[in-house]
Order: sequence, then structure tokens, then C-alpha cells
Amino acid sequence: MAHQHTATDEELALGAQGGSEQDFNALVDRYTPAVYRLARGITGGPQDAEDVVQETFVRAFKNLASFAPSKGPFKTWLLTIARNQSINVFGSLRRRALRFLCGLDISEQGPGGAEGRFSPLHMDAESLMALKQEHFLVEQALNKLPERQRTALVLKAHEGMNYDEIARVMNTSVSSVESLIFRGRKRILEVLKD
Amino acid sequence: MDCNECPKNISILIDGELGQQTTQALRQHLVACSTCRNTYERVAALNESLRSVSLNDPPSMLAARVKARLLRSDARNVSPDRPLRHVWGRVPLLAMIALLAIGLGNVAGRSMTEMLFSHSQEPKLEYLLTDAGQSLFDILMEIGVEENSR
Repeated sequence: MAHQHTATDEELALGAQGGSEQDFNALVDRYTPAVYRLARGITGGPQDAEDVVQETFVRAFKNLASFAPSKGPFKTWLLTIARNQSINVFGSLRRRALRFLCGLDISEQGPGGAEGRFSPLHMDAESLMALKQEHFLVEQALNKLPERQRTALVLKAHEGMNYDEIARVMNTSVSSVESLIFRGRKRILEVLKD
Repeated sequence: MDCNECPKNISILIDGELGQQTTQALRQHLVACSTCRNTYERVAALNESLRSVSLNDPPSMLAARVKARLLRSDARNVSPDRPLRHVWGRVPLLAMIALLAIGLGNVAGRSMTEMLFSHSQEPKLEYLLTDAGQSLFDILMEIGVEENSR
């Protein structure tokens, strides 16, 4: 068990390729949140995001032989699968209409939630509510973006990937990623201004 | 650097991906231009909001459900592909070699049967036949007539 916590992604992937169930399970534990966030960012719905997570890891398990550390990091390989699965889900339903209709739950996240980053303890209730409202509007605006802009922004903002890594996941060029992120931010600012 | 170039460069700078020279030029411009400085602050604030926006962490048992599904027989039947492809991958190559051998044999004027089953030690009956195309019986009859005439 200790080995799975300290092992690198590549070591776990190679172990899984050799038949180690524990190593693959460790990768599932490690990357379920990232895959879920990306899937949620693209599909917009929690249930679809869960479905994408399931399918992503099933496909990753089946195609483990195709992963090679020399081609790139395991995270990039996995998120590429996740993005493709998300697009499959996203393209099969009328997501935009559903996202406009579905409300987002901005109720209390609990003390262990995101307080560390956007909910400083010294903020009063009114400021906190204003901040949450702002984040709600930003999320709404993010969900209105075209899928490619949204994907690039999610990978940048939430996964901390650099442009080169994002380009690999999205199977595009670095200059294209630059443009996608720039246009996505510009569009959100225009929506927030309205 | 002029104001038209700034918005996109600001976006790239905030992501830490702008080259050194361009960064320097942009910073010099921002010092002098309040409009672009304002753009920088808005994009930086938006970036912070995007990082803070909760796309929600997954449900707590999702990873466990994924592992359970992988344990189920329908998922395990789809086992990782093993690298047996290297054997089957050579079938087309072997087929080509076989066809080439057949082709070369035909070019040399010999059929595969001849190549595989011919025995060079066996006497060739055609050497006994005359150019007139006589049959073996005719030849033997002639030999007999010659003997009788002696």
C-alpha cells in the first residue's frame, strides 16, 4: 500500500500493465477527481461527469498497452481519453439548453470546502455571499462557452497544465491553445459585463 | 508594443507562458498605458475566479464505484490487450514471401510441383525419344527389328 502512495504515475502504469490490480486502483484513486472536474467542465452535469469517469477508466484499463512514458505523462494520456469521452456525451444531448435551465447549487460547501482559497475567514457574510454570487456567474458564463474554449480553460485553471500539455490533450497546437484561452476569457468578461 | 497586441499577450503572461522579450515589452507598455493595465487587472481577477470556481469534487464513493465496476466480470472480460499482434502482424509479410517464391519459380520456367517434387537422378524418358516424336513402343519395336535383322 505504501508503494502505491509514493510511486510515480509512470511506475503505477507500468505495474498495471504487468497485471497489478493495486497499481491500477491507485491510479483510479489518484485521478478520479481530475477526470471528474474535466468531465464536469465539458458536459456540465454531475451524472454525465460520473458516467464519463467510469468509461474513462474502463477504456484506460483496456488500452493500457498503448501508454508509453516516452510519449508523454500518464496524466496527459488519461485526460485525453476523458476529454474524448466527454465530447461523446456532450455531443449526444442538447446540453446547452439543459445548462440554462438547471440551477447550480451554491448552498454551503461546509467548513472543509473551498474556504482556503476563496472564502477567507475574515470576510463578513455579505462579502462572502457577493463572492459566491460572482463565482456562480463566472461558472454560468464558463458553461456557455464553446466546448473547446471551455476545455482549454478548465485544463488551465483547474489542472494547472501548461499550454504544451493542454495541446496534447486536445490534439491541437500550442498557438491554438493560446487563442482558445484568450477568446474564452474575453467572452466570459463580455458576458459578465452584460 | 501597441494596445492592439496587448490583450492576447496579457492572457498568455498571466498563464506564465509569455517569452522573456515579449514580457519585457508588455510590462513597459503596462506601466505607461492605464487602459491595458485595467485589462490586465480584470483578466487576472477573472483567472483567480476561474481557479476558485467549484467544478465540484466528485462524489466521495465515485472512485470506489469505478474500481467495483472494473472488478465485475463484464469489465474484466475486456482485459488489457496483450502484445500478440507481433505474431499476426507478420502474416501479410509471410504471405508476400510465399507469393514471391511462387512467382520466381514460374519465371524460371518451373512449376511449384516441379520445384518441390522433381528428382534429378531419375532418367528422363524424353532423352530416349527421337526428334520425330516416336513413342516409347515404337522405339522398342525398332530395337527389336534391328536385333532380328542382325
